[in-house]
Amino acid sequence: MEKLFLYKVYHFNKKLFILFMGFAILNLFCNLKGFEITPFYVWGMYSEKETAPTEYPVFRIMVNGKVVDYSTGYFPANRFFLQSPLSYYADAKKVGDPLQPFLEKKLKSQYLWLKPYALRVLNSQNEIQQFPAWYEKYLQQTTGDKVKSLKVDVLQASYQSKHSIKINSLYNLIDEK
Amino acid sequence: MKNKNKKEFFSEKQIRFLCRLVFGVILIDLFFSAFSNTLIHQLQSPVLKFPYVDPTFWVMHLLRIPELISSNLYVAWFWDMVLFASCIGIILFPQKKWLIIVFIIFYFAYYIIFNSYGVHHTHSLIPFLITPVAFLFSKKSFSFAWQGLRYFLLFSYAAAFLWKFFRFSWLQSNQGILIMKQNLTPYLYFNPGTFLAHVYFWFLDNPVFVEIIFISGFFLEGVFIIGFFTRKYDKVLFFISLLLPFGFWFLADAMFYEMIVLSLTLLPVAAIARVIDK
Repeated sequence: MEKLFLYKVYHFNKKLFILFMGFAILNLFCNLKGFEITPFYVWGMYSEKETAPTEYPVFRIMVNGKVVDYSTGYFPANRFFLQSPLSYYADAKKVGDPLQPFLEKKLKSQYLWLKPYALRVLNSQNEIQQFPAWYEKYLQQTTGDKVKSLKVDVLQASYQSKHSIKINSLYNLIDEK
Repeated sequence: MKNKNKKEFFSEKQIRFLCRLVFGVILIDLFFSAFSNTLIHQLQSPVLKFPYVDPTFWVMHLLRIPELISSNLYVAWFWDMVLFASCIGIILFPQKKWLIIVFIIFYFAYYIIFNSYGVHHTHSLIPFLITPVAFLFSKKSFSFAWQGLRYFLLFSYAAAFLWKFFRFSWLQSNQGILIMKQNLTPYLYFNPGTFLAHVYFWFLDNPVFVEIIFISGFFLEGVFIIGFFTRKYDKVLFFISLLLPFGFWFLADAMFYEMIVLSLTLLPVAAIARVIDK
């Protein structure tokens, strides 16, 4: 018992003990409920059973007619900012902010209580429409080249045997000239 | 008793060393952010936000704080400069707690902006947000706070193990290969001829080895549970904590090198003392 960390903290300083216990309990609670409330984190990444999609989306980003390969050649955080918001935009362009249906599903009846606030934090149609212009500016920041034209296509890829990836179809996501 | 204290408690000199080490790593990462075009002034007033279901993000966005900082170039520049200046200030004067408070406040907003406008709540910046808090404590309390961080690290990996365990994803026969394909398809499509692509294609042709990596990672995360009961194996856990980010990178193209800052908490006081004495 005397070797226990929390026992030692309790005898050293009661306020520190309450602080540590509170942090530990809230961390446990958030993990049990599956709700992340910064700084009480849920460490469940890649724990969900993955489902096998028939196709994997690949973004073909063309700046001034040249392909920007966002999958390599840039720092990881840069690649993250080139891909993740673009991927979200691809969904948002189709159905509006994808967070809304997710919130409704996750929070069920509690969502009604949150709805007035949700409308203030969800992305509006206006914000979604502003995305291509922002992406152009960010690509300019990343590549250092003035963006005269920007085209983003979504390629639907699938794996073939013998080390190859086949593009089954594509659609245009952004076309700014 | 004195020896026991030496074993468990850090001296002022050792705390200053740890503080400089941690903030040195954070400073290097801030330079990485500059090269990554992810400092706030480089984000070009982002438009799409993602507060997810995290009330902290909701409150910040309801108060419009991320919008205020990121949409005004002067404020964004000021924020970035304070991040660098406070970090350098702490390295020079590790005993100045007000500098650490300034850094934590500014880094907290950066953390929210990075994750919300990056439209995905990554866990990579968490160690840089959490670890500085320990240096706010007084000399004797610091040793407990540092040990508290050790438990935070253990919990992170143990929870990652338990999430996979109770969701039974470790029993899914192709979990590893699906994670790999989900994250690496763009790389393999654009760069099929590189050495790394050949390595990945080989693994895709031999999926059993990908599953071995996934299951090994899952098992190694579980090993951290031992740390809750004894500190005897902390050196092994330290080694594993250095190994795991390579696994995340290979399997999911995700860089979690920031966790290494928390790995420092697995080193015994004596080991840190030896480094300083040298």
